[in-house]
Formats: sequence, C-alpha cells, structure tokens
Amino acid sequence: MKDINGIAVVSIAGELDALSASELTDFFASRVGDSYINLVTDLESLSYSSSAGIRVFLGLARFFRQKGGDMRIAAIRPPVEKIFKLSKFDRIVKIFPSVEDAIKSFDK
Amino acid sequence: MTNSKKKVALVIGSGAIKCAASIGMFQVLEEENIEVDLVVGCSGGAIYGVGFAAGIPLDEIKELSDSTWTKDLMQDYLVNLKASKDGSLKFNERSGLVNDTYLNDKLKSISGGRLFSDLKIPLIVVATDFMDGEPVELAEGEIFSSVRASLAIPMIFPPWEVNGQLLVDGAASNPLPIDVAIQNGADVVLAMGFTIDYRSRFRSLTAVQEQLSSIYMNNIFKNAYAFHNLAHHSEIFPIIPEFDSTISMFDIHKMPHIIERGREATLEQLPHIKRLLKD
Repeated sequence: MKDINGIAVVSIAGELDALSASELTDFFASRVGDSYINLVTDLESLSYSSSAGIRVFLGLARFFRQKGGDMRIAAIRPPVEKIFKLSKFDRIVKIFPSVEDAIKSFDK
Repeated sequence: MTNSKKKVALVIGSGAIKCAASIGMFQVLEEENIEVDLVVGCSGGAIYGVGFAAGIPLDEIKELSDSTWTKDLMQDYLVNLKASKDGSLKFNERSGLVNDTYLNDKLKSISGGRLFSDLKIPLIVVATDFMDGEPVELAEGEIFSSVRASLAIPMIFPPWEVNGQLLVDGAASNPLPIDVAIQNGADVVLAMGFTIDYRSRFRSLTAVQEQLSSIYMNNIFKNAYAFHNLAHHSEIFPIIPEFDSTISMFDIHKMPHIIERGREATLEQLPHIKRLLKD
C-alpha cells in the first residue's frame, strides 16, 4: 500500500475469489479503513475476480462513500473488466486507465 | 475430485440454438468429474438441462439438438403472420403465429415421457406467468409440459397451460435464473448465459420490433446477472460463450462452433471452479 497525496493506493495481485476475498477484506479493515477516506485500487496485476471478489470491491465502495470519500479502480485488465461490466459494477464505481488518472480524478 | 461440502448448480439460460453451447460445458464437467447437484434451465436452456439431468449421453443430446433447430419449428409462420395483419387470424392470449406440432413432437422426443422424479439430477425449469409476468418454477410432474411452457416465445409459439397457469417463455421474466439455484441451496453456481445478437439492417416493422425486443431482453439479462452477482453470497461463475458471428435460430451448420465455444468458456473458468471445489 502507498500513500499518494493522502489517498490510499492499494495494488491487488493474483486471483480474487471466495477463498481470498475474506483475506482482502481483513487487510482493508486493519490497514486502510481507519486512516483514509479515499482509495485507489490498482488492479494491473489482478488476473481474475469472481463474484465474491466483486462483492469485496462493492463493500469497499460503500465503506469509503459512507465516510464521505470514494473508491476508484485503476489499470484493470480485460478478463477482470469483462466480469465487472457483466456485473454492471462499472456503473457503480469509476474506472480509470492508470493510477495517476484515478488519483487526479479526486481533484475534480 | 470431491465436492461433498458445496452444492453445485448448473444454470442454463435462454438462448435458443446457442444453448447447445451447454453440450461443451457438459463435456468439460464429465471429463473433470465435477458433480452437479441441481440443474436449472430456462427456455432453450431447459431442453439441454433435461438432457443433462436425465443422463442422456452427450452424443445423443447433440443429435436431438441438431434435429430440433430446423425451419420446421416455424411451421405456418408466414401464412399466420399475414393473416394476423389482414385481420383474418384473430389473436388472443392463447395464440401464437406458429403451428407448434413440430415443436411439441421434438420436445416429447427429448423428454421421452419422463417425469421430473425420473431424472438423475434434480431439475427446475423456469417459465413466466403470462397473466402477471412473474417467473414460475416447475419441478414436478411431466417434463414435456414444463419445457414446452418455458419455450413459449411470446407471439411465436402459443402459451402453454400448466397447473391452471397460462405460461410463456421463461426468458420474459428470468433469462438466467441464478436466483432459483441459490434459493434451492446452491453454494456454487455455474451460469451459462447468452445475449441476443443485434441487427444491423432494418427493412420491416418486424425487424424493428425484433431489435427493440432484443434490447429489452439483453438488459433484463444483464440487470438480473448484476443483481444476483452483487446480492448473493454464493459463488457465481459466469460461463458466457462468445461466438465469431451472429448465430441465427436455424444455424445448424454452426453447431460445432457453438459447442466448442461453450467448451472454451467453461475451460476459462475451470481452474477457478476446481480451486473452489477442492477447498
């Protein structure tokens, strides 16, 4: 995890499914949740997300919005983007081509 | 492989001939010895759901499939369409533009006089109540009537009455019934679904109506999938075959391609399915 201009930037790698989802939820609860109101998830190295993975992202978006902030998704790969679009998750959370673009979007 | 802890459901959505892609999925499930505890089928998906749940050999399912999607299904369509336009054919809630004799004969041959209780794997077929638009789950009695109801494409095939309810195509209310699998205890759902190809040329009122209907149907499909994916705690594996070109209802010659794409879409998810079932 990095702190860029007060925004938490978290890179998620590998595969996200029902088995790894709770691990990720725990990570955010313990390391990110209390200290930040805005989050960028860098998905450049995420090769797969199941429905359980999408529910983790949905939970994060809800959590940060309830705190008055938001979550952005950056650098999503085609297989993950496909499942995000099928789930219409791209209509709930803003997706940007790069982390830099996602960070800049918080200024607007 | 054992997966005794998790209940696995197979959901085969509506999609007419494209539903033959499920044969490719069945091949993979058989090769990998993945046990299925429940099958849910809607419209065209119900036909293949019956084949799999009954334990019909895949070669036989393929043969039945090849002989189903022929132009004989549309018996008297053009004559009745013309008659409906000039007013000589009066339409009511039980009408359809097609003489359904061929469809009924095919479905009787596929269901082979079976009852739901005869199946090796429990099956639920989804249709739509024509009078209130609600999805209806059918899982008892004679299979033929349930599949016939599930396939009753509005205006094309006449609706079908089951247990006093006038039923039409399940696709009208629940084209990919993931919720039915989850409500019936599925922990892991393998959901094979299809969108309808859009037209690029419009030369008649019917073509414009078909396009509008495709837009409605595709949005029902996507919205329902999105809802189930985000709302439920079961793991849902979308198996969405992608085809090289538009698949029309009678493209029997594309059957090998359809089945292969079903197989490929399943193989894409297979490592993730196996990982979850192994746990």
